[in-house]
Amino acid sequence: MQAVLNCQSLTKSFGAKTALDHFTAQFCGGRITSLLGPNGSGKTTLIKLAAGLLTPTDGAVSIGGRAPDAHTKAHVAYLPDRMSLPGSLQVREAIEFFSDFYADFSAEKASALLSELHIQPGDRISAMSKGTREKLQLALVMSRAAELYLLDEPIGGVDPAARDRILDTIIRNYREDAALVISTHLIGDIEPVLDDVVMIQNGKPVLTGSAEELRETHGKSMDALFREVFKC
Amino acid sequence: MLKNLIKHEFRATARILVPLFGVALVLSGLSWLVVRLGGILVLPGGTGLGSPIFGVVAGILVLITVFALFALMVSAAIITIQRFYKNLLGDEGYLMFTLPVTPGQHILAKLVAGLAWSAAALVFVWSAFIAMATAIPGSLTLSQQMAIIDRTFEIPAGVFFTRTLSLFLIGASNFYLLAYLSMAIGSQRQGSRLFASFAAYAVLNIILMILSIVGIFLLACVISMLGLAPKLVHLINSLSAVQVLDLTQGVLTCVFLIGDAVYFFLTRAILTRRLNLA
Repeated sequence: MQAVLNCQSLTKSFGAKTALDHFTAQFCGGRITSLLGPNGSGKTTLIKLAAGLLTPTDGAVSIGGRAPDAHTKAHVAYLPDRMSLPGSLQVREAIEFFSDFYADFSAEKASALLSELHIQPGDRISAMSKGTREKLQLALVMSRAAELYLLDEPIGGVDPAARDRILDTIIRNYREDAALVISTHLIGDIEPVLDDVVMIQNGKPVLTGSAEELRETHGKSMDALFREVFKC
Repeated sequence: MLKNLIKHEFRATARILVPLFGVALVLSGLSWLVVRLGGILVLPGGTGLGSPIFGVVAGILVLITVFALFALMVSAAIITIQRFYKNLLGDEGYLMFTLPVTPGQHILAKLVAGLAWSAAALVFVWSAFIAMATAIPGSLTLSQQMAIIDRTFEIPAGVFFTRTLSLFLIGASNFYLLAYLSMAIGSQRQGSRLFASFAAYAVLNIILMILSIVGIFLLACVISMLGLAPKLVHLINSLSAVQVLDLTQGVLTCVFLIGDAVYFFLTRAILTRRLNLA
Protein backbone atom coordinates (compact mmCIF):
# COMPACT_ATOMS: atom_id res chain seq x y z
CA MET A 1 0.00 0.00 0.00
CA GLN A 2 1.49 3.33 -1.04
CA ALA A 3 2.00 6.02 1.59
CA VAL A 4 0.15 9.22 0.76
CA LEU A 5 1.65 11.11 3.71
CA ASN A 6 5.24 10.32 4.64
CA CYS A 7 7.01 11.74 7.70
CA GLN A 8 10.75 11.09 7.97
CA SER A 9 12.44 12.06 11.22
CA LEU A 10 10.19 15.10 11.32
CA THR A 11 11.13 17.66 13.94
CA LYS A 12 9.51 21.00 14.77
CA SER A 13 10.77 23.29 17.48
CA PHE A 14 9.32 26.57 18.69
CA GLY A 15 12.22 28.26 20.39
CA ALA A 16 13.38 25.99 23.20
CA LYS A 17 10.28 23.79 23.02
CA THR A 18 10.31 20.75 20.71
CA ALA A 19 6.75 20.01 19.64
CA LEU A 20 7.62 17.11 17.31
CA ASP A 21 10.78 15.10 17.89
CA HIS A 22 12.17 12.96 15.03
CA PHE A 23 8.70 11.69 14.20
CA THR A 24 8.61 8.96 11.53
CA ALA A 25 5.40 7.45 10.17
CA GLN A 26 3.56 6.70 6.92
CA PHE A 27 -0.14 7.17 6.30
CA CYS A 28 -1.55 5.06 3.50
CA GLY A 29 -4.47 5.50 1.14
CA GLY A 30 -7.69 3.69 1.97
CA ARG A 31 -6.92 3.73 5.73
CA ILE A 32 -8.39 5.76 8.57
CA THR A 33 -5.63 6.64 11.01
CA SER A 34 -6.11 8.33 14.32
CA LEU A 35 -3.43 10.46 15.94
CA LEU A 36 -4.00 9.91 19.63
CA GLY A 37 -2.38 11.77 22.43
CA PRO A 38 -2.96 14.15 25.31
CA ASN A 39 -3.05 17.91 24.87
CA GLY A 40 0.34 19.27 23.80
CA SER A 41 1.61 15.92 22.49
CA GLY A 42 2.29 17.19 18.95
CA LYS A 43 -0.83 16.07 17.05
CA THR A 44 -1.80 19.52 15.77
CA THR A 45 1.83 20.34 14.94
CA LEU A 46 2.06 17.22 12.78
CA ILE A 47 -1.17 18.02 10.99
CA LYS A 48 -0.12 21.64 10.40
CA LEU A 49 3.21 20.47 8.95
CA ALA A 50 1.38 18.15 6.56
CA ALA A 51 -1.07 20.93 5.65
CA GLY A 52 1.81 23.28 4.80
CA LEU A 53 1.04 25.72 7.61
CA LEU A 54 4.40 25.11 9.29
CA THR A 55 7.87 24.33 7.95
CA PRO A 56 9.95 21.59 9.60
CA THR A 57 12.94 22.45 11.75
CA ASP A 58 14.49 19.17 10.67
CA GLY A 59 13.47 16.05 8.76
CA ALA A 60 10.91 15.94 5.99
CA VAL A 61 7.21 15.64 5.33
CA SER A 62 5.93 14.74 1.89
CA ILE A 63 2.56 14.19 0.25
CA GLY A 64 2.68 11.95 -2.78
CA GLY A 65 6.45 12.33 -2.73
CA ARG A 66 6.33 16.13 -2.74
CA ALA A 67 6.94 18.66 0.03
CA PRO A 68 3.77 20.61 0.92
CA ASP A 69 3.22 23.47 -1.54
CA ALA A 70 0.44 24.99 -3.66
CA HIS A 71 0.37 21.83 -5.77
CA THR A 72 -0.12 19.39 -2.85
CA LYS A 73 -2.72 21.67 -1.25
CA ALA A 74 -4.97 21.02 -4.25
CA HIS A 75 -5.14 17.36 -3.11
CA VAL A 76 -5.24 17.81 0.67
CA ALA A 77 -8.47 18.54 2.54
CA TYR A 78 -7.71 20.18 5.87
CA LEU A 79 -10.11 20.76 8.76
CA PRO A 80 -8.51 23.04 11.38
CA ASP A 81 -9.27 22.90 15.09
CA ARG A 82 -10.86 26.34 14.92
CA MET A 83 -13.32 28.28 12.77
CA SER A 84 -11.49 29.57 9.71
CA LEU A 85 -14.35 30.63 7.46
CA PRO A 86 -14.97 34.41 7.30
CA GLY A 87 -18.02 35.27 9.43
CA SER A 88 -19.34 37.72 6.85
CA LEU A 89 -19.99 34.94 4.30
CA GLN A 90 -23.32 33.30 3.68
CA VAL A 91 -23.36 29.53 3.24
CA ARG A 92 -23.88 29.80 -0.53
CA GLU A 93 -20.85 32.15 -0.73
CA ALA A 94 -18.74 29.66 1.21
CA ILE A 95 -19.75 26.92 -1.25
CA GLU A 96 -18.81 29.21 -4.15
CA PHE A 97 -15.47 29.95 -2.46
CA PHE A 98 -14.61 26.26 -2.21
CA SER A 99 -15.82 25.64 -5.78
CA ASP A 100 -13.54 28.40 -7.08
CA PHE A 101 -10.39 27.00 -5.50
CA TYR A 102 -10.76 23.23 -5.37
CA ALA A 103 -11.30 21.24 -8.56
CA ASP A 104 -12.23 18.17 -6.45
CA PHE A 105 -14.99 20.01 -4.55
CA SER A 106 -18.60 19.03 -5.27
CA ALA A 107 -21.06 21.88 -4.68
CA GLU A 108 -24.00 19.48 -5.08
CA LYS A 109 -22.63 17.14 -2.40
CA ALA A 110 -21.99 20.09 -0.10
CA SER A 111 -25.52 21.43 -0.59
CA ALA A 112 -27.01 17.98 0.09
CA LEU A 113 -24.88 17.52 3.22
CA LEU A 114 -25.75 20.94 4.55
CA SER A 115 -29.43 20.33 3.90
CA GLU A 116 -29.20 17.13 6.02
CA LEU A 117 -27.57 19.20 8.76
CA HIS A 118 -30.40 21.77 8.49
CA ILE A 119 -28.08 24.54 7.36
CA GLN A 120 -29.68 26.86 4.79
CA PRO A 121 -27.83 28.46 1.85
CA GLY A 122 -28.81 31.96 2.97
CA ASP A 123 -27.60 31.55 6.56
CA ARG A 124 -24.77 33.88 7.54
CA ILE A 125 -21.83 32.28 9.32
CA SER A 126 -21.55 35.02 11.93
CA ALA A 127 -25.15 34.30 13.01
CA MET A 128 -24.54 30.56 13.54
CA SER A 129 -23.80 28.79 16.81
CA LYS A 130 -20.31 27.35 17.34
CA GLY A 131 -21.52 23.81 16.72
CA THR A 132 -23.28 24.74 13.49
CA ARG A 133 -20.21 26.57 12.19
CA GLU A 134 -18.11 23.49 12.87
CA LYS A 135 -20.60 21.30 11.01
CA LEU A 136 -20.55 23.74 8.08
CA GLN A 137 -16.76 23.67 7.95
CA LEU A 138 -16.73 19.88 8.16
CA ALA A 139 -19.36 19.52 5.41
CA LEU A 140 -17.34 21.73 3.07
CA VAL A 141 -14.11 19.80 3.74
CA MET A 142 -15.80 16.40 3.34
CA SER A 143 -17.37 17.48 0.05
CA ARG A 144 -13.93 17.29 -1.50
CA ALA A 145 -12.60 14.13 -3.16
CA ALA A 146 -9.10 14.71 -1.79
CA GLU A 147 -6.21 12.24 -1.64
CA LEU A 148 -5.47 13.13 1.98
CA TYR A 149 -7.87 14.36 4.65
CA LEU A 150 -6.36 16.01 7.73
CA LEU A 151 -9.00 16.51 10.41
CA ASP A 152 -7.75 18.26 13.54
CA GLU A 153 -9.99 17.54 16.54
CA PRO A 154 -13.21 17.32 14.49
CA ILE A 155 -15.24 16.17 17.52
CA GLY A 156 -13.37 18.08 20.21
CA GLY A 157 -15.80 20.85 21.05
CA VAL A 158 -19.23 19.30 20.48
CA ASP A 159 -21.76 17.33 22.52
CA PRO A 160 -21.84 13.48 22.37
CA ALA A 161 -24.87 13.33 20.07
CA ALA A 162 -23.24 15.75 17.62
CA ARG A 163 -20.03 13.69 17.75
CA ASP A 164 -21.84 10.67 16.35
CA ARG A 165 -23.33 12.83 13.61
CA ILE A 166 -19.96 14.28 12.73
CA LEU A 167 -18.24 10.91 12.61
CA ASP A 168 -21.04 9.56 10.48
CA THR A 169 -20.62 12.52 8.10
CA ILE A 170 -16.89 11.86 7.86
CA ILE A 171 -17.18 8.11 7.22
CA ARG A 172 -19.97 8.43 4.67
CA ASN A 173 -18.36 11.16 2.63
CA TYR A 174 -14.63 10.75 2.38
CA ARG A 175 -13.00 9.42 -0.78
CA GLU A 176 -12.45 5.75 0.02
CA ASP A 177 -8.99 5.39 -1.50
CA ALA A 178 -7.76 8.49 0.29
CA ALA A 179 -5.77 8.58 3.52
CA LEU A 180 -7.85 9.93 6.37
CA VAL A 181 -5.94 11.25 9.40
CA ILE A 182 -7.95 12.29 12.44
CA SER A 183 -6.38 13.82 15.51
CA THR A 184 -8.32 13.49 18.73
CA HIS A 185 -8.09 12.73 22.41
CA LEU A 186 -11.64 11.32 22.46
CA ILE A 187 -10.66 7.74 21.65
CA GLY A 188 -13.90 6.13 22.80
CA ASP A 189 -15.97 7.85 20.13
CA ILE A 190 -13.58 7.20 17.26
CA GLU A 191 -12.46 3.65 18.03
CA PRO A 192 -15.22 1.86 16.06
CA VAL A 193 -14.11 3.45 12.77
CA LEU A 194 -10.33 3.22 13.08
CA ASP A 195 -8.00 1.20 10.89
CA ASP A 196 -4.67 2.42 12.27
CA VAL A 197 -3.47 4.22 15.34
CA VAL A 198 -0.48 6.44 16.05
CA MET A 199 -0.11 7.38 19.72
CA ILE A 200 2.04 10.46 20.30
CA GLN A 201 3.58 11.75 23.49
CA ASN A 202 6.02 14.65 23.81
CA GLY A 203 6.34 14.81 20.04
CA LYS A 204 7.40 11.18 19.64
CA PRO A 205 5.37 8.16 18.52
CA VAL A 206 4.98 5.76 21.46
CA LEU A 207 2.70 3.14 19.90
CA THR A 208 1.74 2.60 16.26
CA GLY A 209 -0.02 -0.08 14.29
CA SER A 210 -3.31 -1.50 13.14
CA ALA A 211 -6.09 -0.89 15.68
CA GLU A 212 -7.25 -4.50 15.44
CA GLU A 213 -3.77 -5.94 15.96
CA LEU A 214 -3.11 -3.65 18.92
CA ARG A 215 -6.40 -4.72 20.54
CA GLU A 216 -5.52 -8.40 20.06
CA THR A 217 -1.92 -8.02 21.19
CA HIS A 218 -2.71 -6.04 24.32
CA GLY A 219 -6.05 -7.67 25.02
CA LYS A 220 -7.84 -4.39 25.65
CA SER A 221 -9.74 -1.68 23.86
CA MET A 222 -8.01 1.35 22.37
CA ASP A 223 -9.63 3.45 25.08
CA ALA A 224 -8.11 1.30 27.86
CA LEU A 225 -4.76 1.18 26.03
CA PHE A 226 -4.81 4.96 25.66
CA ARG A 227 -5.41 5.38 29.40
CA GLU A 228 -2.60 2.96 30.17
CA VAL A 229 -0.06 4.54 27.79
CA PHE A 230 -0.84 8.10 28.83
CA LYS A 231 -1.33 7.43 32.52
CA CYS A 232 -0.42 10.56 34.51
CA MET B 1 -6.20 31.10 -8.99
CA LEU B 2 -4.98 34.70 -8.68
CA LYS B 3 -8.10 35.84 -10.52
CA ASN B 4 -10.29 34.00 -7.98
CA LEU B 5 -8.33 35.44 -5.06
CA ILE B 6 -8.79 38.97 -6.43
CA LYS B 7 -12.50 38.33 -7.05
CA HIS B 8 -13.11 37.22 -3.45
CA GLU B 9 -10.93 40.01 -2.10
CA PHE B 10 -13.02 42.60 -3.96
CA ARG B 11 -16.22 41.00 -2.64
CA ALA B 12 -15.02 41.02 0.94
CA THR B 13 -13.84 44.64 0.84
CA ALA B 14 -16.84 45.86 -1.15
CA ARG B 15 -19.13 44.90 1.74
CA ILE B 16 -17.60 47.75 3.75
CA LEU B 17 -16.37 50.23 1.13
CA VAL B 18 -19.38 50.38 -1.23
CA PRO B 19 -21.67 51.72 1.54
CA LEU B 20 -19.00 54.32 2.39
CA PHE B 21 -18.82 55.38 -1.25
CA GLY B 22 -22.61 55.58 -1.20
CA VAL B 23 -22.62 57.90 1.83
CA ALA B 24 -19.90 60.08 0.26
CA LEU B 25 -21.86 60.23 -2.99
CA VAL B 26 -25.05 61.35 -1.22
CA LEU B 27 -23.20 63.98 0.84
CA SER B 28 -21.30 65.22 -2.23
CA GLY B 29 -24.54 65.47 -4.19
CA LEU B 30 -26.25 67.40 -1.39
CA SER B 31 -23.23 69.70 -1.03
CA TRP B 32 -23.18 70.38 -4.76
CA LEU B 33 -26.87 71.26 -4.59
CA VAL B 34 -26.56 73.60 -1.60
CA VAL B 35 -23.44 75.28 -3.07
CA ARG B 36 -25.35 75.82 -6.31
CA LEU B 37 -28.48 77.07 -4.52
CA GLY B 38 -26.39 79.09 -2.08
CA GLY B 39 -24.64 80.77 -4.97
CA ILE B 40 -27.98 81.66 -6.52
CA LEU B 41 -29.69 82.74 -3.29
CA VAL B 42 -26.93 84.31 -1.23
CA LEU B 43 -24.04 85.62 -3.31
CA PRO B 44 -24.11 89.08 -4.96
CA GLY B 45 -25.46 88.80 -8.47
CA GLY B 46 -27.79 85.99 -7.44
CA THR B 47 -31.52 86.29 -7.27
CA GLY B 48 -31.10 88.41 -4.19
CA LEU B 49 -33.39 86.40 -1.95
CA GLY B 50 -30.44 86.00 0.47
CA SER B 51 -30.30 83.76 3.56
CA PRO B 52 -27.33 83.81 5.96
CA ILE B 53 -28.77 80.80 7.80
CA PHE B 54 -28.85 78.89 4.51
CA GLY B 55 -25.23 79.86 4.03
CA VAL B 56 -24.26 78.52 7.46
CA VAL B 57 -26.11 75.25 6.88
CA ALA B 58 -24.51 74.94 3.45
CA GLY B 59 -21.09 75.59 4.95
CA ILE B 60 -21.55 72.91 7.62
CA LEU B 61 -22.75 70.41 5.03
CA VAL B 62 -19.76 71.10 2.82
CA LEU B 63 -17.45 70.68 5.82
CA ILE B 64 -19.07 67.33 6.68
CA THR B 65 -18.67 66.29 3.04
CA VAL B 66 -14.98 67.20 3.07
CA PHE B 67 -14.51 65.10 6.22
CA ALA B 68 -16.45 62.24 4.61
CA LEU B 69 -14.26 62.37 1.52
CA PHE B 70 -11.14 62.37 3.65
CA ALA B 71 -12.56 59.47 5.67
CA LEU B 72 -13.21 57.59 2.41
CA MET B 73 -9.54 57.86 1.42
CA VAL B 74 -8.39 56.81 4.87
CA SER B 75 -10.93 53.95 5.06
CA ALA B 76 -9.68 52.43 1.80
CA ALA B 77 -6.18 52.32 3.28
CA ILE B 78 -7.27 50.99 6.68
CA ILE B 79 -9.45 48.25 5.15
CA THR B 80 -6.59 47.18 2.85
CA ILE B 81 -4.19 46.81 5.76
CA GLN B 82 -6.73 45.28 8.14
CA ARG B 83 -7.71 42.66 5.52
CA PHE B 84 -4.13 41.41 5.29
CA TYR B 85 -3.89 41.03 9.07
CA LYS B 86 -7.31 39.45 9.63
CA ASN B 87 -7.56 37.29 6.53
CA LEU B 88 -4.01 35.97 6.39
CA LEU B 89 -2.55 36.19 9.88
CA GLY B 90 -5.67 35.52 11.96
CA ASP B 91 -7.86 32.41 12.17
CA GLU B 92 -8.90 32.86 8.52
CA GLY B 93 -5.26 32.17 7.66
CA TYR B 94 -5.94 28.49 8.40
CA LEU B 95 -8.25 28.51 5.39
CA MET B 96 -6.28 30.90 3.15
CA PHE B 97 -2.87 29.24 3.51
CA THR B 98 -4.29 25.80 2.78
CA LEU B 99 -5.72 26.96 -0.54
CA PRO B 100 -3.74 25.81 -3.60
CA VAL B 101 -2.17 29.25 -4.08
CA THR B 102 1.27 30.63 -3.25
CA PRO B 103 1.95 33.26 -0.58
CA GLY B 104 3.03 35.61 -3.40
CA GLN B 105 -0.40 35.31 -4.98
CA HIS B 106 -2.05 36.13 -1.66
CA ILE B 107 0.04 39.29 -1.33
CA LEU B 108 -0.65 40.34 -4.93
CA ALA B 109 -4.40 39.79 -4.62
CA LYS B 110 -4.62 41.94 -1.49
CA LEU B 111 -2.43 44.64 -3.05
CA VAL B 112 -4.38 44.77 -6.32
CA ALA B 113 -7.72 45.10 -4.52
CA GLY B 114 -6.32 47.69 -2.12
CA LEU B 115 -4.82 49.82 -4.90
CA ALA B 116 -8.03 49.62 -6.93
CA TRP B 117 -10.09 50.91 -4.00
CA SER B 118 -7.51 53.62 -3.24
CA ALA B 119 -7.54 54.75 -6.88
CA ALA B 120 -11.35 54.75 -6.94
CA ALA B 121 -11.42 56.82 -3.73
CA LEU B 122 -8.92 59.35 -5.12
CA VAL B 123 -10.79 59.75 -8.41
CA PHE B 124 -14.07 60.09 -6.48
CA VAL B 125 -12.62 62.77 -4.20
CA TRP B 126 -11.13 64.70 -7.14
CA SER B 127 -14.43 64.56 -8.99
CA ALA B 128 -16.37 65.68 -5.90
CA PHE B 129 -14.09 68.67 -5.29
CA ILE B 130 -14.15 69.70 -8.96
CA ALA B 131 -17.95 69.37 -9.04
CA MET B 132 -18.36 71.49 -5.89
CA ALA B 133 -15.89 74.09 -7.15
CA THR B 134 -17.67 74.46 -10.48
CA ALA B 135 -21.08 74.62 -8.74
CA ILE B 136 -20.40 78.15 -7.50
CA PRO B 137 -21.95 80.56 -10.03
CA GLY B 138 -19.27 82.73 -11.59
CA SER B 139 -16.46 80.28 -10.80
CA LEU B 140 -14.21 78.78 -13.47
CA THR B 141 -15.84 76.09 -15.58
CA LEU B 142 -14.34 72.64 -15.83
CA SER B 143 -12.79 73.33 -19.24
CA GLN B 144 -11.27 76.57 -17.94
CA GLN B 145 -9.74 74.72 -14.97
CA MET B 146 -8.31 72.06 -17.30
CA ALA B 147 -6.85 74.79 -19.53
CA ILE B 148 -5.02 76.27 -16.53
CA ILE B 149 -3.51 72.85 -15.78
CA ASP B 150 -2.48 72.51 -19.45
CA ARG B 151 -0.66 75.87 -19.35
CA THR B 152 0.95 75.40 -15.91
CA PHE B 153 2.29 71.88 -16.42
CA GLU B 154 2.75 72.03 -20.22
CA ILE B 155 0.85 68.74 -20.64
CA PRO B 156 -2.84 67.98 -21.27
CA ALA B 157 -4.88 67.89 -18.05
CA GLY B 158 -5.82 64.26 -18.69
CA VAL B 159 -2.14 63.30 -18.83
CA PHE B 160 -1.45 65.33 -15.68
CA PHE B 161 -4.17 63.53 -13.74
CA THR B 162 -3.08 60.12 -15.06
CA ARG B 163 0.53 60.72 -14.05
CA THR B 164 -0.52 62.02 -10.62
CA LEU B 165 -2.72 58.97 -10.14
CA SER B 166 0.16 56.67 -11.18
CA LEU B 167 2.53 58.31 -8.71
CA PHE B 168 -0.15 58.05 -6.02
CA LEU B 169 -0.61 54.34 -6.74
CA ILE B 170 3.12 53.66 -6.67
CA GLY B 171 3.38 55.50 -3.36
CA ALA B 172 0.33 53.66 -2.02
CA SER B 173 1.74 50.29 -3.05
CA ASN B 174 4.96 51.19 -1.23
CA PHE B 175 2.97 52.04 1.91
CA TYR B 176 0.83 48.88 1.74
CA LEU B 177 3.75 46.54 1.06
CA LEU B 178 5.73 48.04 3.93
CA ALA B 179 2.69 47.54 6.18
CA TYR B 180 2.37 43.91 4.99
CA LEU B 181 6.05 43.32 5.74
CA SER B 182 5.66 44.86 9.20
CA MET B 183 2.69 42.60 9.94
CA ALA B 184 4.54 39.53 8.65
CA ILE B 185 7.45 40.40 10.99
CA GLY B 186 5.05 41.11 13.87
CA SER B 187 3.35 37.74 13.39
CA GLN B 188 6.58 36.00 14.40
CA ARG B 189 5.78 36.86 18.01
CA GLN B 190 3.57 34.47 19.96
CA GLY B 191 1.65 37.24 21.71
CA SER B 192 0.97 40.99 21.22
CA ARG B 193 1.24 40.57 17.47
CA LEU B 194 -0.50 43.83 16.66
CA PHE B 195 1.85 45.78 18.92
CA ALA B 196 4.82 43.94 17.38
CA SER B 197 3.57 44.87 13.89
CA PHE B 198 3.42 48.56 14.80
CA ALA B 199 6.86 48.31 16.37
CA ALA B 200 8.22 46.61 13.24
CA TYR B 201 6.71 49.39 11.08
CA ALA B 202 8.37 52.05 13.24
CA VAL B 203 11.74 50.29 13.18
CA LEU B 204 11.60 49.72 9.41
CA ASN B 205 10.84 53.41 8.86
CA ILE B 206 13.80 54.40 11.03
CA ILE B 207 16.03 52.04 9.04
CA LEU B 208 14.74 53.49 5.77
CA MET B 209 15.37 57.02 7.01
CA ILE B 210 18.95 56.12 8.00
CA LEU B 211 19.52 54.40 4.65
CA SER B 212 18.15 57.48 2.82
CA ILE B 213 20.46 59.84 4.73
CA VAL B 214 23.47 57.59 4.18
CA GLY B 215 22.52 57.16 0.53
CA ILE B 216 22.21 60.90 -0.08
CA PHE B 217 25.50 61.54 1.75
CA LEU B 218 27.31 58.90 -0.33
CA LEU B 219 25.82 60.30 -3.53
CA ALA B 220 26.95 63.79 -2.56
CA CYS B 221 30.47 62.49 -1.84
CA VAL B 222 30.64 60.72 -5.20
CA ILE B 223 29.39 63.82 -7.06
CA SER B 224 31.90 65.97 -5.22
CA MET B 225 34.85 63.56 -5.81
CA LEU B 226 34.09 63.32 -9.50
CA GLY B 227 33.75 67.11 -9.79
CA LEU B 228 30.24 66.79 -11.16
CA ALA B 229 28.65 69.41 -8.89
CA PRO B 230 29.01 72.44 -11.23
CA LYS B 231 27.71 70.43 -14.22
CA LEU B 232 24.76 69.20 -12.16
CA VAL B 233 23.89 72.73 -11.00
CA HIS B 234 24.11 73.99 -14.58
CA LEU B 235 21.86 71.15 -15.78
CA ILE B 236 19.18 71.79 -13.13
CA ASN B 237 19.27 75.55 -13.79
CA SER B 238 18.73 74.90 -17.49
CA LEU B 239 15.60 72.85 -16.86
CA SER B 240 12.14 74.36 -16.64
CA ALA B 241 10.06 73.92 -13.46
CA VAL B 242 7.97 71.29 -15.22
CA GLN B 243 11.07 69.37 -16.28
CA VAL B 244 12.41 69.43 -12.71
CA LEU B 245 9.02 68.08 -11.58
CA ASP B 246 9.24 65.32 -14.20
CA LEU B 247 12.76 64.43 -13.08
CA THR B 248 11.71 64.31 -9.43
CA GLN B 249 8.72 62.14 -10.28
CA GLY B 250 10.95 59.78 -12.25
CA VAL B 251 13.44 59.40 -9.40
CA LEU B 252 10.67 58.87 -6.82
CA THR B 253 9.02 56.26 -9.05
CA CYS B 254 12.28 54.30 -9.33
CA VAL B 255 12.93 54.47 -5.59
CA PHE B 256 9.36 53.38 -4.74
CA LEU B 257 9.42 50.50 -7.24
CA ILE B 258 12.71 49.19 -5.82
CA GLY B 259 11.19 49.43 -2.35
CA ASP B 260 8.06 47.62 -3.55
CA ALA B 261 10.13 44.73 -4.89
CA VAL B 262 12.20 44.43 -1.69
CA TYR B 263 9.14 44.53 0.60
CA PHE B 264 7.22 42.04 -1.57
CA PHE B 265 10.01 39.46 -1.69
CA LEU B 266 10.77 39.76 2.03
CA THR B 267 7.09 39.39 2.95
CA ARG B 268 6.74 36.42 0.64
CA ALA B 269 9.81 34.78 2.16
CA ILE B 270 8.46 35.18 5.70
CA LEU B 271 5.02 33.82 4.78
CA THR B 272 6.58 30.88 2.90
CA ARG B 273 9.29 29.84 5.34
CA ARG B 274 8.21 31.20 8.71
CA LEU B 275 4.41 31.26 8.69
CA ASN B 276 3.31 31.44 12.30
CA LEU B 277 -0.47 31.58 12.64
CA ALA B 278 -1.91 32.21 16.08
